[in-house]
Amino acid sequence: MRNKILKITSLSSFLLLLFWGANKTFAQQTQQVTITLANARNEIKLDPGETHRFTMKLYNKSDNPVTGTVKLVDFIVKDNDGKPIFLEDLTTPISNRFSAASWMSVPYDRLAIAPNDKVAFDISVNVPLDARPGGHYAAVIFEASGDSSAGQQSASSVSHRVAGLFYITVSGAVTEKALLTKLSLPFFSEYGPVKATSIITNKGDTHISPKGFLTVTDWFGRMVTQSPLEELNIFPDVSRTYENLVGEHFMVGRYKLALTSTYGEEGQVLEGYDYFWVVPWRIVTAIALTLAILILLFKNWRKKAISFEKELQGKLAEEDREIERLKEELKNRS
Amino acid sequence: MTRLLYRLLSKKIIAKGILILFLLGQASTFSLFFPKKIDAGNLTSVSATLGNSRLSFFGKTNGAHTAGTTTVSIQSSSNADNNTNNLFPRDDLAIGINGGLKVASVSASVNATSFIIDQALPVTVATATNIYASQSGSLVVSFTLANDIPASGYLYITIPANATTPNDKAPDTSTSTDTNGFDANGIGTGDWSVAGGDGCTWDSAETWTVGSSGNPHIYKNVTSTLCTGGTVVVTLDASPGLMNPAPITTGHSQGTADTYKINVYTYTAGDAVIDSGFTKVAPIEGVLVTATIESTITFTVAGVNSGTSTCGQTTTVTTYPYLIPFGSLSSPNIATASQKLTVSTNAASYVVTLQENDQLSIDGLGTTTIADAICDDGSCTHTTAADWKTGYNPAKGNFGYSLANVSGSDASFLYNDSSRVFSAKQIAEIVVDFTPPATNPPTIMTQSTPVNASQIYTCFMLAFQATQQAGYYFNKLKYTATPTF
Repeated sequence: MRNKILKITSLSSFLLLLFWGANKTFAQQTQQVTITLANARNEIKLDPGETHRFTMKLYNKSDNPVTGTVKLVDFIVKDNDGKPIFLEDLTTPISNRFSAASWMSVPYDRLAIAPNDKVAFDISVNVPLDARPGGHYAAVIFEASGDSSAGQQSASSVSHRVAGLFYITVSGAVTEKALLTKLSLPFFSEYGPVKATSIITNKGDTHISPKGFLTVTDWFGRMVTQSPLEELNIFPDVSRTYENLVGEHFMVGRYKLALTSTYGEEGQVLEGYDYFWVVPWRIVTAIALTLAILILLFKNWRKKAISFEKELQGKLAEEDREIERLKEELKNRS
Repeated sequence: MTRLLYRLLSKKIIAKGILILFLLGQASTFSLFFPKKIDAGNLTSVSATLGNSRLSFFGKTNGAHTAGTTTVSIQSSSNADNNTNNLFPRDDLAIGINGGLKVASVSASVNATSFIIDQALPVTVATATNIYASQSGSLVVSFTLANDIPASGYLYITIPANATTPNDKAPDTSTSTDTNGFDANGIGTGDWSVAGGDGCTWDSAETWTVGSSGNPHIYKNVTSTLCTGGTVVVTLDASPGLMNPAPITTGHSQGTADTYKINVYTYTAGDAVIDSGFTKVAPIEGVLVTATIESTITFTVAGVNSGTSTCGQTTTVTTYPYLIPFGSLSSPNIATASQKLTVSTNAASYVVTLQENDQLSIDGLGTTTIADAICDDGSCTHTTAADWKTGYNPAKGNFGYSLANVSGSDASFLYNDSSRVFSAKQIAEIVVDFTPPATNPPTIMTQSTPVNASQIYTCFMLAFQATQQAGYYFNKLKYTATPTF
């Protein structure tokens, strides 16, 4: 009986230990923090003196509470991939004509989100009466930080941030101007489709999102293909590069690539064109060589045929002469 | 026949044929070096700006509509507008002889063919009755003179007009933009004004001629004094304003503008052209947002257990979302650690950046530091990767990182690029390696399309040297996930 009780106890302890150990391992494997921010992009047009509220939501999809800070910063874009540069940690203050963060406010700069829960809060925008017409850009950044106490060891603490962007266009005398600074593709290709590169530069006061098409026509003016231009936002004073594959696989001859695009709210147009050749030269060369060989073979055969005919004619003439001579002889004999 | 064929294939004729083809080829190639330029004419900076760039609406009733009805159905084919996508609430409307109406609401569905008006239809209309929602506005044309305009010379602007109904105060349509244009809408010379140009005195004579029989509308304004250059601005006010055309009936795609050409000329008093130029305007359907889909970005940072294979290495420490503990290291030693990043977004494109506040230093004070890796050939930086196989070598630096894709292909570089064993970079340090607004932290994860659960590993390697001063070394790392602009 004692032995039986001992066995049951040992088995139960073992099972409990196993279960606890598995739970501990499972907890280690699934330690993660997941934060969702909505809306990630916010765009609006406001008048000077107008106020507006954006509603932002932060979702904590983790099993632990998340705490963090909220802040508003201006941002600009400088390079071709649209990556925002947040104007924070500046070593020296700068004057930014696209600034908007100072017009905006959040109700708190620290918040906590319960596990699997969300927090919604308003971000107010109050556009000054003397605000410069055109685009103004800011971001809200939530930075989550948690238990980063390392104890007696070396470590790196890690914080995670998610950002939402605001594009505010202040109404007024806004300059909308864009330039098609490049439209090019290889002058000669063996096959299509051909890679076309176009660069649009925004020289206006606000961001634009050009919409348009790349059209390929043949030397008779017939449309071959038409591809849409990807819709990308272009920050003021920045260029964006578009790369498209245009045309079909099998093309022969000279083609024209035309880019037609519109942008802005005032019906502005961007246009440009370039020419290119597509010649499957390997196939053409093979066909030409084959034809040349066939022609040469035919000519050779023809030459031999004519030569043989002449030879036969010569022999025939000789036969005729021989016959005439024999006739004459026979006549003389008789 | 045989002899004829033989003559055709004679060497001389073949040679001549090849020569002709060669010359033709050269001639066409030569033309490629002198393509026709885009902007003919020598007026510079020609631009035209529409105060209202929306296309007008022109549809037809589908079936008879009796007086008193408030729901209007439109035909779904063969007209300029075959759905209500170009119709917005509060648009002014005319249905046959019923004017002064407004659109009360349109369906939120795309390509709907009915809408509600704000009052009962006063008079019954038959099937196929015209429905107009006109859009009109100002027009500003500006250009820079290349040559002088002598006294009594004039500027001359042509605006496309519909071939059949150029001035009936109703939106115009046609099968192509070549035969369509803007309705004159009762505009007179009093609606135009001209300013600018050095020395110009405008309005000594001014005419506005409505287009007809396929000819464009023409605005002409004479200067009584010599114009010697500068920028001229010609303004048509918005009351009543130029009426925008409706979409053309063939080949128009909704959301794509129909483009129309406006020509600008300057003439002498004797009607000789001095300068010319043109520009294009592009009316387009407006965009009505009737529903909002939130754009979101979801970012997950997960710890990775020790003993996990990442970036071709086996991790020696377990990490957590907020902490990478390298442990109590005794020299010489290498600690490898990883974290897993996951991003989901419907915001078209995104980036994740990584930065550190400082190098690892004792108590995080920044004085006694652990050097960033410079890799085996001494070339890796925060922007340039290089192989770092010999982690023990103090001359190669101590702390670096690499990346590996887990799901998707969003990592900016990979540990095994160029057949390397551990292609590493330094972590970018604020101020030292990047300083906004001039530069920003490098991207470690990015995609140019919406993604669902793209994952990468960030793999850290810390090589602890025998000569490193004893102590607890700390720094702070920061990931930032953001949609791109």
